[in-house]
Amino acid sequence: MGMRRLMAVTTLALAAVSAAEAFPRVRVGGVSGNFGYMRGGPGYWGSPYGYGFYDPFWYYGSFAHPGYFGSFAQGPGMGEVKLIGAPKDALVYVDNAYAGEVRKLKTMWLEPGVYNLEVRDGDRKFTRRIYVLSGKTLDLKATPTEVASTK
Amino acid sequence: MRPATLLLFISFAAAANNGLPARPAPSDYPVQTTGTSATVAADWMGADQVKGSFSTDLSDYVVVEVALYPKDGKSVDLTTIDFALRGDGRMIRPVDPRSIANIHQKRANKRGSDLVLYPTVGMSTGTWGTGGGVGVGVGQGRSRGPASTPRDRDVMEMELEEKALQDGQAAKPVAGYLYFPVGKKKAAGYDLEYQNGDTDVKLRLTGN
Repeated sequence: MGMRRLMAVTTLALAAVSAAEAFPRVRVGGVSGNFGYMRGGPGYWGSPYGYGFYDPFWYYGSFAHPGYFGSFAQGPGMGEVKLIGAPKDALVYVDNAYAGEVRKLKTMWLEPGVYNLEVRDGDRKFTRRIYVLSGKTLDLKATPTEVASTK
Repeated sequence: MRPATLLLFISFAAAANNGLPARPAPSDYPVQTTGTSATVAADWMGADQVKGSFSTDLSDYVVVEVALYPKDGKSVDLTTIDFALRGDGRMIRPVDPRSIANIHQKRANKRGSDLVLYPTVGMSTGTWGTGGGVGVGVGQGRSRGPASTPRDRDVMEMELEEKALQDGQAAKPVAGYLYFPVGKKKAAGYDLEYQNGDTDVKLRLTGN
């Protein structure tokens, strides 16, 4: 107990900023900081080899440790929709709006919500009301088999 | 139109068409029985079938597709709470979609954790002199699991509600799902009971 220390530490951690709700598995962190004042008194400094020395002096000083932290998040904000079995050149419609060809949309990321999905391949189509949840994958066997009505 | 108003409008609009179309005849279901005022038919959905049909995780539930065929000229006051599942010495009533969605969202919101790294650079000064250093701290933060947002809860509720058997007067065949909270471990068979006025029937569900 030869060493007496007095340490005052103030920790400041600013809240983490979750800036990546829109895309999964990325989360931006925030900043942190440790500020303090240290004061130590006379004491004996030992060593495992059996010798040491007595330090008669007081020491004191301040320290500052600013930091930045990041994190690996598991909470994605969007849901994944996978189209299985659909021809590559079939057309994808989401809520009656053209979204693109299957070759580019085999995997889609959508905001949580309810959508009417349609895959059209010539005179055949696949329609489904889909329920997208954040962080979940919806595997859809989207082979167009229904006969599309001619308007 | 504000999103909340739009969602409410969509909910009301969808409510009119909720449930499933009843199959052409009661015999199209694996089990059926006839009571005083209606024929009740049912189909216990297998685990794979549930997984493929619902985005909402229903692994803790027995999902039964139920159809009710009122007898000619009769109208049945249908209430889902009149149904019960009996098995393993327990009697279980169906749970409404809102409760299931709430439970799932709250549970998902509680779980999950982040591994947080705190790289820091430091500088110290004092009577001993001045020095600098770098360090890394490791901590644990909290993150949300899948389907944990209020929006997810609304989507789950909408999905379950749109496919559920609806309460109300039924003068023609109606069908929809009932969700029974049995837990992960399911029995090999259950009795589905329906008691409503002078109709008191029981159907044996097996095969899952």
